[in-house]
Amino acid sequence: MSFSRIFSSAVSSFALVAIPAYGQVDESALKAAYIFNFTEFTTWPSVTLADAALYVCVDKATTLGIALSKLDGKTFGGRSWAVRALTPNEGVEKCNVVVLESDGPMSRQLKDVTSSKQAVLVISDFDMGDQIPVIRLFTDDGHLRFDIDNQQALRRHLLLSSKLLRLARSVL
Amino acid sequence: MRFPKGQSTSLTEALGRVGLVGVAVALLISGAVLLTYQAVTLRTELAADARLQAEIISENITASLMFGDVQATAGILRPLGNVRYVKSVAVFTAQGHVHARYARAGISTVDANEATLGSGTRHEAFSLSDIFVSTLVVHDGAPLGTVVLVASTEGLKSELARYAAFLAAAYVCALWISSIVMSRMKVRVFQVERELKYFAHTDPLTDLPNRRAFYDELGSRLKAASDDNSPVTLILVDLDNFKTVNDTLGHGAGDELLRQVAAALKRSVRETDVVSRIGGDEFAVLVAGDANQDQSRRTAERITHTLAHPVELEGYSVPVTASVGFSRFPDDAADVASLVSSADIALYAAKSSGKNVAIAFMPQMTADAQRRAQLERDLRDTIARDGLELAYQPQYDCQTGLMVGVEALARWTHPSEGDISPTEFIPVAEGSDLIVALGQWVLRRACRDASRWNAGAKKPVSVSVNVSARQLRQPNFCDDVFEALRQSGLQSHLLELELTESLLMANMSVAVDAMKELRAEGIRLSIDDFGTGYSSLSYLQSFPLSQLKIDRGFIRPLPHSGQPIVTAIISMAHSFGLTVVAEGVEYPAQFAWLCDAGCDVVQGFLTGRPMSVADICQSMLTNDDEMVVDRPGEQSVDIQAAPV
Repeated sequence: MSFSRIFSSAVSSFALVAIPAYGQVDESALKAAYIFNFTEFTTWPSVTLADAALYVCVDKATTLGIALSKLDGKTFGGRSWAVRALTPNEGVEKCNVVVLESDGPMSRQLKDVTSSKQAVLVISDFDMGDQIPVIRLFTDDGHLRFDIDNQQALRRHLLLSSKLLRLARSVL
Repeated sequence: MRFPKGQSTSLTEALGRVGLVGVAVALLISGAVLLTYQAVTLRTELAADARLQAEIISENITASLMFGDVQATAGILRPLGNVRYVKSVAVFTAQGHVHARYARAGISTVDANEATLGSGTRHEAFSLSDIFVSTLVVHDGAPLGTVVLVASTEGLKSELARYAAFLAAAYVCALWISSIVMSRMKVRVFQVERELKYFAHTDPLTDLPNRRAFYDELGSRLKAASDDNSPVTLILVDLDNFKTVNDTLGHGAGDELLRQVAAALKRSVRETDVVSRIGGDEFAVLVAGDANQDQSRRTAERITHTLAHPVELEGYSVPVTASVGFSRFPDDAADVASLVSSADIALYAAKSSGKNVAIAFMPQMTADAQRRAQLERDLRDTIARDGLELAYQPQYDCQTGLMVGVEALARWTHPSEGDISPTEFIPVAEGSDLIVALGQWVLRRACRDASRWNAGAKKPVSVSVNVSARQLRQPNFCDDVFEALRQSGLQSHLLELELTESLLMANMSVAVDAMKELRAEGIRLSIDDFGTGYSSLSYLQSFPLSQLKIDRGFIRPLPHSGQPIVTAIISMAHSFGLTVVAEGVEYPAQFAWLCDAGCDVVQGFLTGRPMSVADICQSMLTNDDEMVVDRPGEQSVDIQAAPV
């Protein structure tokens, strides 16, 4: 029996991501690391990546934004991370990743992005109501976990690696 | 049938054992090689499988390792329980920390934790220990960690054990089949070997041990006899007239004669005695029970007596006699060679003393044999040096009294021993090829001398030369005769060749051809010693003879007895158109009777002793004018006129 078959049969439709004893770790830094890893396992349509940078838009004023800013310039797969501030007055046209951290008022452009089919990886750590993110971060029993809405990803022409899907608590 | 001892293990048995051991060793070696090859192959395949498995694992745990998701990694590794050879797996982070471990159920903690970062670099192709493989976990070219997989070789070992068991079973089967085949081959080879041994040690004609087997047996018996100091008698038997039987009745009859002689010999000795055929018509008997020479002599004489009975061959009753010589161990000889030599000398003595007798070896015989050998050497030298002389005994015509011929007789004056009788040196020459050289010498010298004394003679005198059997067998005999005539200038009708009866009988086909060729050239042929051999009348008609010589044995009793035989011979010879010569005439009464009986020519001491060529020349002078002898009763016999 080949391992690949054993492996595929072993892969369940969901998996729990457990981060043991992270309480002492900076949660925002951990989230930032997760978000960085999400981009590792996400493939954007080539036309949407105009240059060698991957634009990550976040509210830089928050702790998560600060943690993500620390990853600015980090490279992966030949591209470098470019962390940009997400402000109500600024456009979000060039964002490849939008990280939404808190339940607050969203600009019209941001709403347009989150509700559109643009190839933007929307990540949030809160319930966005009818605005559904591609990846939803949450904390469960002291462990940082995430759900994935793969339908949203497909609608946005984003390809999430099965390896990432395997780690999600739930995949829609 | 007896074979020499000391060969208890046959070649076939030895080869069979060596062959089976050889096959077993070959199978063992091939088994070891196959097992080793199988072990290396299985280990290589297992290592390749393990490496592939580790690479698949590393590919699948990329995300979980990146997210530090131990549970996810454990979940990925858990199905490895279905892969029997995977004993344990350890996943290390890029920093070298253990990320996750997997261990097969039921193994010890030590075994569960045996995978370390360094253990994956071990490569032992010729070991049956566990296999460690390691692969890097890489994402986008960046190393995330290492997977170390430990593959158990238990399955490999059990597979090897099964393979070994299968090989062993196959080899046992092969050995079994090979032993069956070899045993069948062994039986066939053994049969052939037995036949070879039979032919190597047995005379197939008589089924007696052959010469080689006899010598082996003689050696072993002498060794045993010397240990317990017991006597052994060696009896050599030689048929006196085998060659005549062979030549006259054919080889089939000769073979039958040998078979009958062999059977008779076996009947005449004990069961424990060994009879063997060691030559054409020569047999040897080994007797162990005769305590003294008298007993040995009785045994030998019993053999002679047994063989001296006519044998039925192809409807004919053929008289067979044998000469027997014997010698005794340890009285006469102390070893095999000496014993055989002694018996051979005794056999020679038996043959020389008239045949059909058994003669014991005497030490004097050795000296005689040595003397014969010396005489042979000296005679050879003498012939080579032209050192012999010829004497000529005259033959006179009974009617005219004229000398009509002479018989050439060889004379040898030895430098140290003086005159040696022809009765001594002629047999020595006949015993070897020397008789050929001697005969040639006599022929040439006689032709030369005869040419000399006949030069200008009114009444030429022929010369008679005796021819031996060996001479007649020479393919160029006739050419030699013609060459002697040519060189001497002697007319061919003045040469007479004397052949013996036995010579003609023994060389029938050769003799007829040669005689016809000689006769065609005008050479006269006479039969010597007529009446002593087979006296077959048929050859008187078929052979181109000119003259017949009555043996002196028939002349000696004359005139008082024996007249009918001589009269009959003379009458018969005349009927065939042959002249008759009486040899050994010593008394006037014999001479007178012979002349009355119609004998043509006389030869003997009465009419003339052998004389030199000069005397012959002198006689030739008177021969042309004088009547030497007169008819008895008419005139006195002037036999003294003949040179003596």
